Amino acid sequence: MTSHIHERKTVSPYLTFVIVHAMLFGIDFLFLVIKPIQMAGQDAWTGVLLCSVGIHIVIVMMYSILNRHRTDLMHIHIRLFGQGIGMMLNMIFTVYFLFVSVYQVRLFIEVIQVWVFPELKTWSLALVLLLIAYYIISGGFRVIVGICMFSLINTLFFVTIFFMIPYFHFNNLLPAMSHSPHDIFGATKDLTTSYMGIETLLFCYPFIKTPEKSQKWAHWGVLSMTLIYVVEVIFTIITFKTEQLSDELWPGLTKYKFIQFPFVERFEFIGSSATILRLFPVICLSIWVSNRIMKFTFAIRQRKVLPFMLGLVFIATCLIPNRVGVDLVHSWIRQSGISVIFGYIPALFLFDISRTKVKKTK
Amino acid sequence: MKRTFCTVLMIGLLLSACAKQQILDKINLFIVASFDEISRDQLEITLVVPRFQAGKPEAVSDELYSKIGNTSTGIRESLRAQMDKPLQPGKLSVVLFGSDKASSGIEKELDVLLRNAFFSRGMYLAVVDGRAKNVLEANFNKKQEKGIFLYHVLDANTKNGTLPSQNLHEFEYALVGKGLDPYLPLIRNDHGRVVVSGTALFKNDKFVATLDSSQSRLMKLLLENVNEGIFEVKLDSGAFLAIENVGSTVKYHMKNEAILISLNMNCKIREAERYSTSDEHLRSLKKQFKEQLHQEETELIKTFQKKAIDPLGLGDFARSRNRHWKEEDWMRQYPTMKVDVDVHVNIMESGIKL
Repeated sequence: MTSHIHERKTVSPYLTFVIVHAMLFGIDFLFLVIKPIQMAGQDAWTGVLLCSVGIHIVIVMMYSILNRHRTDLMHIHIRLFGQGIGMMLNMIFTVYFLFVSVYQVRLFIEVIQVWVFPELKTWSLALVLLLIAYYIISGGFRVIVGICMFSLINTLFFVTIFFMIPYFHFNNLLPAMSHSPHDIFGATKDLTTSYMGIETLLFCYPFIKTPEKSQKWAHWGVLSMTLIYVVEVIFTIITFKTEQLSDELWPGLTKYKFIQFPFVERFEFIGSSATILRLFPVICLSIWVSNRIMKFTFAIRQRKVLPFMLGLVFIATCLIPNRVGVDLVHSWIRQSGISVIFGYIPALFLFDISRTKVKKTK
Repeated sequence: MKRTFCTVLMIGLLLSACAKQQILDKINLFIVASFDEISRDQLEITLVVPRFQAGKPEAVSDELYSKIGNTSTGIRESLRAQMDKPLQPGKLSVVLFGSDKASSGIEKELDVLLRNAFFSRGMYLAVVDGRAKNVLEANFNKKQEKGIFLYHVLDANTKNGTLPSQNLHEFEYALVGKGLDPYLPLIRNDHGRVVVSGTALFKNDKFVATLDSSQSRLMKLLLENVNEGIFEVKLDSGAFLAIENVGSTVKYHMKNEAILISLNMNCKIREAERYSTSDEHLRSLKKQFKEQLHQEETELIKTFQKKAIDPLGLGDFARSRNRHWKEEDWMRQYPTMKVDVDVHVNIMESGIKL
């Protein structure tokens, strides 16, 4: 029951790095530092490292499951749990990925509404974004990975940190390790949100040429993002006081407020519009995954399902009215993301191992 | 299929492009604004709107708009009734507070500035000795726009003058941070000229004390590494000498419950007045300068302690060195705490004459 993907449709293993990078470098990055810093203060960066270790272990588990079955998660579900339960689990994942894309689209529109055009209507921008997403997704997996490449450009925006050097207070990092392990674990748990997105690898697996070789690149992707997160957390700690952060919504954009060029008075307009580079990879991959599951479950052509899925995302996006709504959806996604990454994948891993052991002894 | 896709995409793109336009000629920008307190819950806002004349880039005139009301955004709304074009706040770079307003607290006004995505965090805030409107009414500069001029005055005095660096972000940082208090530049209208007269010290968001410009220079030495500034030294003979600071570094140390501030200064003699700069004289000059600096800095810190304000951020420093730091305990022990200043002076050059 191994799924065969034509080689023409697959990508090279090293592009796993790009996929992981793009999925993790989403719009959430603009405010991922707030909660960990509120919990663990100047020690929040240790939380990033701890969380990264956890994610590496989860990746090892994911690849061990995938390599054993040599197929993607939806086939594995059916193989392990049978038609009924397997289908149900697949549908849960569809809903989860749809929710992720709804949240990301709404978040991007909110950023634009707050920072650039306050009078912009949600539906008009959502319509344009989803039409472009349709164009990209109907191009297939390889085109989506190509779009993911754009998220590498985001790394360039990191240079803007150096405009804040006059405002650095290195004393804020001291005294090191003054928070209790409880606080640090709280921060670690909260940071899992920023590592959400690696679960897409479970579905991209058959689309990678020689997928066993891609594990190393997945690790490199997570490692590079860990570095970026640590740097971001440390720079935020030394620029802002913790009390200041508690009433910021997007510290990642606030830091653009320090930048002034003679020809660009306000860099934050560019910065907030450039978050679109973070948006497309995430929503395209998520919608693609849920689309693929639908195609597999109901055996219909992907092109036919896609407009229907995008319509669902569009309606759901327009139904989230304001900040409070966005926050609510965020907390759902956070909970489900944490339970998928640190609950479901390890459980599946253990179940799979014990199943093969039992089979062997038989 | 393709055709419908293209049409819908075009319609979507065109519709989302229907955002409000703001063309420079058709809006009123303001660069400086001031807040004054009229009564307990009424304040007066004054905006200076530049008027450009077509064809003459150097001819700028200013128009003052001011209004009394309860909330600043409400006042802005009613100011609109007097204007020919919509008001756009995006270029605001200087905000002045009258001394009455500053002494009764400026937290509400700060919140307006911090909440709106259109305001820059690099804008300068300043306290005016007296009413802030008086400064804006004065005709202190004929060539430049008032807001730009005030911005440049504050910018120059911060970057290479007596003022310790302070903009909106740094003010908020010191205001909400534990163990440090904010400060702002103090300006006044001196017979139609704008003069930076010193520093206004704050306790929380309330203006409580002032420093004159020589004291602000001393405070700047303790806050950051400075590489300019002239110091006058009084010699035993009664003569005065001028010494220029060409690079000072400041470091804070914690030594069993006491704070030691070590200040290292490289300097040049600027004005010697027939005073021979031989080795022996230099040594005594160095000693006198050092003693004078030490005494002045110690006095400055004593005044801070007496008023229980902490613009130097000693509390924040102590927090970074002590795991069990508590703000209440610190505030109790701060006024009587031992703070030492250790001054090192190094006279490097005496100009191109002996």
